[in-house]
Parts: sequence; structure tokens; C-alpha cells
Amino acid sequence: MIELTGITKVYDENRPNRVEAVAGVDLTISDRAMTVLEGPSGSGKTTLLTIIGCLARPTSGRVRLDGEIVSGLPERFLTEVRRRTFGFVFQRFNLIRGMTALDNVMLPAFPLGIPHARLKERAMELLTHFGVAERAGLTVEMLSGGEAQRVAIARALVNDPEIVIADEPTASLDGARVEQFLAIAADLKAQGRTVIVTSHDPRITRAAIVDRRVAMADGRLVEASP
Amino acid sequence: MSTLVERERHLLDFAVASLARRPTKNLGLTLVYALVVFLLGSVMLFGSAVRREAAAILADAPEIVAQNMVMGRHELATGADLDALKGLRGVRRVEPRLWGYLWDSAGAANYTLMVPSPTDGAHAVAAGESIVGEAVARARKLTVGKPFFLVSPTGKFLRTRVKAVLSDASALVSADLVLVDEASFRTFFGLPADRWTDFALTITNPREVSTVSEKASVKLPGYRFVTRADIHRTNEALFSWREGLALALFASSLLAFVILAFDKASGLSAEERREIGILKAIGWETSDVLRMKLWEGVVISLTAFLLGLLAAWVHVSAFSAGLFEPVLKGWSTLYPQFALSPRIDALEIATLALMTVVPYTAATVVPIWKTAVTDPDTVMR
Repeated sequence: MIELTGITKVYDENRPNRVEAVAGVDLTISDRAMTVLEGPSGSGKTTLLTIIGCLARPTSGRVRLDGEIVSGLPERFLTEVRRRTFGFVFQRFNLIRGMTALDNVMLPAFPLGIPHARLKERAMELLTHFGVAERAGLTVEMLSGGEAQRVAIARALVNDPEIVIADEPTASLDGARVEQFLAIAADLKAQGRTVIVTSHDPRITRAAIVDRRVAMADGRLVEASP
Repeated sequence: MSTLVERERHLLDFAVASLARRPTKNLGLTLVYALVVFLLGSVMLFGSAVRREAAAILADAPEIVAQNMVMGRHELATGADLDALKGLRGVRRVEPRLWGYLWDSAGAANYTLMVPSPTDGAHAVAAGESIVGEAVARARKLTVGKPFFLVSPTGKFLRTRVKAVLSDASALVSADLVLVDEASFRTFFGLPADRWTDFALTITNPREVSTVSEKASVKLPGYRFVTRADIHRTNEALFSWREGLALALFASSLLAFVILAFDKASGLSAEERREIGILKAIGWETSDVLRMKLWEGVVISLTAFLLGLLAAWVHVSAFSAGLFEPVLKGWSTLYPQFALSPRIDALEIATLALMTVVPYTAATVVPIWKTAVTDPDTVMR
């Protein structure tokens, strides 16, 4: 379970261009459920997602993960938590260009020192599961949008995280691909993982598999379904 | 342990792939780096090879050379002084030598004319014969059997036929040498019968060289006694000074390279920053990024170092360091031409590595660290 208490995030504090991206958010996210953060651009949902995923620290407030406060952990431990607990699917997938799909999937596990053969086997299993095994040897520039997203999801799962975070996963996909993403999200949920997604796409926010919707505007929660 | 090795292997793999993704930038940096190693390596390899060559040749030099000095200038040695040295205890043999310099306007070069030792059967020359060094042969286009004329400053002619050309092996000291018989030498320079250029002393017990030298100084206070060790020290100082001079000149190129390396390492492209942000976001620690970047540095510096060293080796051994010949060999118009054999000396290689790898690493470590601490959330914004 993730508990956020009094979370604020201010960029460029004490400067004329100061921005309060998140302002006093209290939120609890249940395990093994799909939660969607919805809201227009600039509402603070991506910033909140980075705080939930330990990519950024809140300016004030606390983040608890399974009862442990993680927001105050030193960088090294925070990275360890991020690596073991979270898998990220970024808005533009953020695959590393010039590398093959397979290498991109293996990348998060490099610092763990897993033997190459075992790691490759795990990555191939994931690529096979998401139907892109035959594209494993291609550099990511050669992949279509849908393929790139599935490779990005495979990368997010290579360290077997409990929580999968996806930022605007369907922003650059057509309708058929949205359905495909929802199927993958349902699959992840069925595997017992927690799925947290930001989106302003009603095909995602109103999908049947969504357990909870959290609406944001101007950095604050404006509505949260139970 | 295997986990650590496997992790470093993954990081090294990624570093190599990362370098390959930006070929122009990294190839350029490697080439400039290799050029710096080549310049410094050539000077060091050449200097040490020449010093070794000189030391090997000196092994056959006389243990002590006695030179008559008048008002601090080298004067001709006399027969009376020869007798005085012969009676000295500890001296096995005293050999009077005849040699002198001659400016040859035809070859536009200075030659060293010398009478070979009577005990040196290999280089014995009869009247009308000469043996010449390889540079003299080159300058005057001489081969065995060809006539060779010399004109003294007073206009006297010396007409010889070339008996032999000295081998390249001793070129460092024999390149400008012309060996002629004693009678021709004395006639050519107008030298009386009991005058010599200097004396070469052979000592009974080589460990007594300094003692004999001191005793001889007492007996002939007007003479200068130069030991083989003195010549060796002078050679060392001369070649080290030239090497130092060249290295000082190339220090500026090293500085320029360090600035370039700093600029390249700190001037990361937006794409590189994005990549590091991705790596941090997907679970790489700052130390992982730092190590990966250091592996990149190791790959670049090792490749450039080996390339530069190999090029320097070829430059010195195959081309006798042709680019720096005038600085390193001296200012003679007759440069010796001989193949140097640079030897692998661990200390020299370590010194070269210290002079090139350490400045590069030092110049890149701060920018690398600044890059590695990139916030992971930058990829989300």
C-alpha cells in the first residue's frame, strides 16, 4: 500500500518562476488494483506520479510504502526501492535509441549482476509474452509505436516489480493500441501487481478494469472515487 | 564475487555500445588522444633508445682519454708526455691517437678524420686508402673502390680510394668518420712526428680507473683525463636534455588535449542527458552511471594509448623518429642513419601512461560526476 500525506512539490523555490506543481495531496493507493490519475495537462498528475515512484522527493509531506517512510531515504536506498518495487512505462516510452529491443529490456537489471544468459532468457520471455519476440534484435528506431510500448512494458517488468507506473501510456497510440494496453494492464493486475496510470484519455479513465480514479487540477485532488 | 564481475561486464558492454552510438565524437577524441600519446611516446622511446645505443657503443671506448689543455683549450699531446704516462703504475697501455675535424665544402659537412688504432686490424688502412662512415658515404655518394678526395684548410689534397664503408650499427658515433693512414694524416694537417691529438689509456684493473686518473693528473697537471663514465654521463645529460626540451614543447599539446577532453566530457548532448535520466529512472544508481562512464573513459584511453604507443614504436623503429630528428639527434649536417630498436621498458610505459591517462581521467571525472547525478525525474518532465 502507498500512502501519501501532505505532499507538496515546488519547483524553483525562492525564484520569480516558482511553480507549485503539487499542493497538499493526501492519497492512499491500494495494492493489486488499477488506479488512474486523471486531469488536464499541467494539473500535477505526472509530478505526483514521480513522487509515488520515488523518482523525485516531495518538497514537504511523506510517502509511505507498506508502512515504511521512503520519502526521506538517502539517494542510494531510494534507488534500491525504485529498482525493486517499481517498473516505469514513460509517456514517450524512453527507450534508448541505437540499442536493440532486447538490450533495452535487459537494461534495468544490468546493475544487479544477473548472469547474461539468465537475463537474456528472462527478457526474451517477456518479449514473447507481449508478442514482440521477433523484433528483439531490431534497434528501437525500427519499431512501430505499439511495438515500442510493449518493449517499454517488458522493460518495466524485467526486475519483476510489485508496482507498475505508466505515464500517459496511450498518448501516442491509435485506438486499437489503446485496447491492447488495457488488455496488458488487466493481465498485470491479474498477476497481482499494482498498476498506477496517469491519463486524460477517457478510453483509459473510463475503462472497466480501472478500480479507482483520482482527478487532479492545479496540483490538488479534486475528486477521488472510493 | 561473480555478481560483481557480471555487473561490471554489463556496464562495460553498455559503455562500449554507448561509445559506438556516437562514433564521430568518440572517434575524434580517441584520435586526438592517440596523437598526444604518439608525440610524447615517440620522444620517450627515441630518447631511451639513443641513450641505450650510445651506452652500448661506449662499452668499447678507452677507459681514460688524456687531453693536453692550454688556457682551457685542447692542445696537441707531446711525445714526452706519452713517455710520462707509460711509466705510470696501473696503466697497462697508452695509445697515442690522431684525429681532427675537417669542413668539407664539397659535402657541406664536418668530417672527423682519424687514424685507426694499430691494434684494430679490421679497420687497418694503407697509404692511399680510406674507410668512411655511412653519412659521409651518403653525402659524397661513395661506394667501395671509388676515389675520395679531401682538401685541407691550407689547400692540401688528400687523394684516397674507399676501402670500406662503416656499418650502420655504430652510426651514432661513426657516421661522419673518415679513417686514413698516419702518414697521410700528418701530411694533410701538417702535423710533426711527435705530436698527437690525445692519448687513450688502458688500465690494468678497471676498478682503479679513478685512482689512476688522479695519479695521472698529478703527474701531468696540464692534462684533462676523461673517463668512460664521464662520457657516459655527458651523453645521458645531452640526450636527456634534448628529450626534456621536446617533452616541454609537447606539454602544450597535452594541455590542449586536456582542455578538449574536459570540453567533450562536460558538453553532453541533450540525448546523452536524456539517456542518463532514463538509466536513473529505471533503477541505475549514481555509482552505476559513474562506473559506466568511467568504463567509457577506460575504453577511450586504453584504445588511444595503445594506438599512440604502437604508432610511436613504428615511428621510432621504422622511421628513426623522422619527425623530431633535428631536435633529438643534434644539429649536425650529417645525421646518423641507423635503425633504432626501442625496448619495452615497464617504467617508461608507466611514465607515459601517467603523463597521458591521468590528465585525461582528471579532466573528465568532474563532468562525469556532474552528469551521473542527473535527477531521474528529468525524463518525466
